[in-house]
Amino acid sequence: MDDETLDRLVAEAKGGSSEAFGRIFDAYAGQIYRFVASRVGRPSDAEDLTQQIFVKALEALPRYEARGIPFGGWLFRLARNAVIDQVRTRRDHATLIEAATRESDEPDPELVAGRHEEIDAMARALADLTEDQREVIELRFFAGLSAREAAAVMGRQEGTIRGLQFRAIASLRRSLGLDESGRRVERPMRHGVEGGEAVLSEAGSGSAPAMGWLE
Amino acid sequence: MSGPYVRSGDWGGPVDEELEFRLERYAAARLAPRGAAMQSIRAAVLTELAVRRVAEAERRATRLPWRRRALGLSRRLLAVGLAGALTLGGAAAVMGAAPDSPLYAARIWVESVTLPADPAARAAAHEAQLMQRVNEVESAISSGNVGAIDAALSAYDQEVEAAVGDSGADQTRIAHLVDELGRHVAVLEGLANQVPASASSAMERAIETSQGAVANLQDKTHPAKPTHTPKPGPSHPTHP
Repeated sequence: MDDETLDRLVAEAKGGSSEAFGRIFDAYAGQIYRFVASRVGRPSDAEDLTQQIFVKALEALPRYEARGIPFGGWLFRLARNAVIDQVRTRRDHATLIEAATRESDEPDPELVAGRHEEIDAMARALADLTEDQREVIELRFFAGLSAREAAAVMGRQEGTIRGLQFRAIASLRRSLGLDESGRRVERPMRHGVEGGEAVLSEAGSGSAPAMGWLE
Repeated sequence: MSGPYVRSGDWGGPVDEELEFRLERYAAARLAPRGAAMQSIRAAVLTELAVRRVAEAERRATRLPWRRRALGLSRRLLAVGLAGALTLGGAAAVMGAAPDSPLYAARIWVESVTLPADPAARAAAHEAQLMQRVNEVESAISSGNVGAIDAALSAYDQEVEAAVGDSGADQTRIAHLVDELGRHVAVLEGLANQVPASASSAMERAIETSQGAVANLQDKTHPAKPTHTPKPGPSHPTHP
């Protein structure tokens, strides 16, 4: 959705248009859900929170004014606050490891086993990140926000976001055993077919990625 | 509903395909919403919006002179019903209201304002609601509740008009709606002899509405060719 369309929909939704708000929901609900699910783990909690966030957005929308904050940043700030509130209230912060225990719908047991291993490894790698680094990955990758929007959500400078992202990627690649050129040290289990032997030695040495993410 | 994840190339650097691949796999396995969860959330959020709009209308109405308030009685009753539903169990109470419920009108209204914007999804939602209305007519007839039969048939009429109004120009969708309405006519005609006499005119009206809609939609699909009446040409002198 382009900015002009979004601005128009926001204006119409502020005026009470349910159709406009429905289109905004359609544009952002998937991203919001993924962001929330990555933070709370349990799907039922993620669904409840996603609903609460959009109801909060309904309440707050009349007061929304762009003023340099993109709408996506504003909406995700609401989402972030809602997640933080829930975690504070419930004091049972579900971790990414908990998310990793969620059962897959994949019917083939061989695929399930292969994918579980890979996905569990990613969950552990994400859990090893600092809170800020993980949030940047959640906002930038899972929610699909721009660096500017992520900066607005986290109340940081755009440059800070890029720095956190750079370090997060380095850490993920280290944890997952990806070498500096981006190649895998171990053949992955794409589509559940286990690759087997290691093809490179000296897995992720801990140096920053040579991918030039920030160049 | 679930848009694509950001491509790593959009992060400000070259594409790290392997990391992107693994993050996508992780997100698809662990962060994707379950089944129809997002549709349920959407309906709940838009119901909330609709309820708030009614409540706001009610607040405004109470500030008007009494004569104008009286004119808005039906809207106020709807608002009161919705407010009551909220205190008793939220939007779920409205959305589960049967034709014999005082909240049924509220439910129909909420369903109409929470239809999806996407034309295909909207058409599918109209058809699902029409089927729901037909089922409600059938249940109401089984129970012999004339009020419920009238309410369900009236809601069916409204829904037919709304579906036709939103049918657009897509020939496939129009043809599908025509088929659906044709089936409804057959079902309603089959039920017509079971309807209590006091509800028979409502049943006839519903059948006529559906048949009329089919005819209108068929006109859109196969517009009648203009009849060609040759214009009188220039008069030629006759030569005896």
